[in-house]
Amino acid sequence: MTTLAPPRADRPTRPPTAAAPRRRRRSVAPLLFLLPFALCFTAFFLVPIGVAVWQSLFQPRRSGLLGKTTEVFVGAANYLDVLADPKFHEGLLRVLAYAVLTIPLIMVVATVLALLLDSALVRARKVFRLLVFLPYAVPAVIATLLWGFFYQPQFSPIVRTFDALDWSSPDFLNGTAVLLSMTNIAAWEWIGYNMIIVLAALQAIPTSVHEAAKLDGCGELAVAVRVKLPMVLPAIGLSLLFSLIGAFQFFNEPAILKPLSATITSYYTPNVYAYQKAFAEGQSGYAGAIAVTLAVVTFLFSLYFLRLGRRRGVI
Amino acid sequence: MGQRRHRFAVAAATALLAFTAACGTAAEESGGPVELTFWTFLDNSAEVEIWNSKNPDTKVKAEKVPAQDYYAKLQAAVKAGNAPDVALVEYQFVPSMIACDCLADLTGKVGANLQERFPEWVWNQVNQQGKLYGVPQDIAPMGLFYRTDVFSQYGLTVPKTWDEYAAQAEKLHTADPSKYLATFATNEAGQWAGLAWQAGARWFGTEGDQWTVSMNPPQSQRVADLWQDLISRKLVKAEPDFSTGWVSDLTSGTVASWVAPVWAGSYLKGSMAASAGKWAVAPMPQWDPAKPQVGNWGGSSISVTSSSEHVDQAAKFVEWLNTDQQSLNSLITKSSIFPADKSGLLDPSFAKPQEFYGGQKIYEVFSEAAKQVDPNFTWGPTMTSAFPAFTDEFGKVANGEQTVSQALDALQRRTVEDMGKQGFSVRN
Repeated sequence: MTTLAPPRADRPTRPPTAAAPRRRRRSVAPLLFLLPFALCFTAFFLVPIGVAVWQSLFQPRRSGLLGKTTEVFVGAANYLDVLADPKFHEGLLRVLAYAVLTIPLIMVVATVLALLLDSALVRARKVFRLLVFLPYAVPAVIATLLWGFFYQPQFSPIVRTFDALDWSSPDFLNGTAVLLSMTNIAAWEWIGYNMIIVLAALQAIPTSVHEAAKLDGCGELAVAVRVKLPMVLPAIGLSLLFSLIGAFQFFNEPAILKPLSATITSYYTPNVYAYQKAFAEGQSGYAGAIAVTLAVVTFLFSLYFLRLGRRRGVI
Repeated sequence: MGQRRHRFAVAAATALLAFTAACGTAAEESGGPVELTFWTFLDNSAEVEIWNSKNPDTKVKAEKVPAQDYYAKLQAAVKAGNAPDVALVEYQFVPSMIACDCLADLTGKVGANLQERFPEWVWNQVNQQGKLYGVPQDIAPMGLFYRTDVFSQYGLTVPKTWDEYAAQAEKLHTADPSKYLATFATNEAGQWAGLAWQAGARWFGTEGDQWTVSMNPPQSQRVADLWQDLISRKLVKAEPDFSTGWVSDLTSGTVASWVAPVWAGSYLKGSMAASAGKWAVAPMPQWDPAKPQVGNWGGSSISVTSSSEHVDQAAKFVEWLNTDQQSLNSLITKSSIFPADKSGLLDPSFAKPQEFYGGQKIYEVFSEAAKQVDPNFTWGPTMTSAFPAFTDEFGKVANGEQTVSQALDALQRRTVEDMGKQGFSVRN
């Protein structure tokens, strides 16, 4: 039996970046075309990030009882406070727990669905693909509001089913269950999206590859696990990375379910905490420090993950 | 090419010019009528219309701003210099807004006898260190809203004291385990403040140049004990108030009473129409019926912002809005406001029986309650952080992670820490 070594993903040959004759005419036209992007990027990315970093270096000081505030330059003081803040630690740990719960669930289900849809086993492929993808088209805010109704005992058909069966229904909105409830919302929203990414990678595999495998006597399952899966690992790895970054930004679900839950605190995740500090309490310096710290932590995690993926030859 | 570039430059210059022109406001032109903008999350449009018809020289433009993150928005607008001239500020946030230097001092810019129009406790809410930071619009003394249908079905008596209240809670839940006398609002600081206020708590005080904080004072210990007992025995339902589930519980009678302020009168009517005719209002249960005390939950001042360029005109408007007979009448009849101005309470519409409440004249209960509010309760300068902290800590009470008293101790720690972080000096 011959084994098929998966070929490295075909890399397109480098496009000719610099045209052969170096026409270095000082033309402003390309710069003009770049201008809209450059302006938007500066106005909506660079400037706000710069302002956040700048603000995070200040703390308010006052004289007297209700005296005027002066913002004093304190250097890294806010950052030291954030790093020592148990509320920030709690949020960070929760985000990690959420990532551990959510990402494997999403990726495994998405990959299995994609492999199924790519196999010869499924009929009405387009309909299924659309159905699985559809939740992604529902904005996260709407999805969370919708699930909020499924979780509130006064309205929930799930709770009613439990009641009808005389079982005691779990409290979806309180205690540790609420994190699982949000994992469920995230899975509902993101499985379809990740499935499409994996499916696209699967469809990019030349048919000759699995035909050859089949000629060698591979069944559908063996083709899926031994041939297709290794070939789409880079796509899965990339999806994992994006999901990880997304998990650190965890905000929509807790922010929207907060009014319904006694468990979701104002520091439930780092982003919820930063939002609270900035927009309810007006502590822009501290909020900026939380945001920047979270960005650095996310960056470090992504970097570690990328390195890991590279070393294993996945990404 | 040169031609094209020239045209581009002209277009860019024109766009820039249009942009800068749009940034200027008409109000800056001298000589013309003054225009005041007015932010509120309530509806004062009827009164503003009356003012505008009478004062062509000072036009007021009312802008309804969502209550969500209202104070953060106001604070940011003042910092950015594009704040409204006039803004609604709830009493509990007046010191926070003074602390961010957002409010103008109105001392000497309003009528000399203005103080006499308001109850002492209300006047104290807008005065800090001898300066006036707004004119009170409404007050929110609390009472007991209860379901007459549930009360008569289970033979409950309307509680006059908190002990009776606890006894009725037990009686109802024992008779029907699916029903509760009350909710413990896991997210609500305002109601708790009202309960503590009634019991004689003083959360904030000053000693010289320093603040004192007392979120769990001995005066309100019995309030904490009462609710802890009800929560531990599961005689009250722990859930966030104003959530859709909570509205459904009050509408269906699953929860049979609500200790709430006067504005709940119109709120219930608006949000729980299906329960019309099944509600009544009683005075707040008492700790000592011989010396009745009432808490306050909400109420607002109309203030002038520090960035306003027309403080004199704005002061005249807020004084008129909250004390003029015609405006008061409109506030009461069109905007469902329970006025802070004492003369407003004499308005004939408050003596009318209310259909939603089975024909009861509920406002008589609140007019009486307004006289029994402790004048010495004051707010601290960081209530915008303290209120959300209540949600965190009371949530943990509902989940059985701590007691009410422990939650209040945690709030004490968090408030002191937070005030320090925001630059206030606190005496421990």
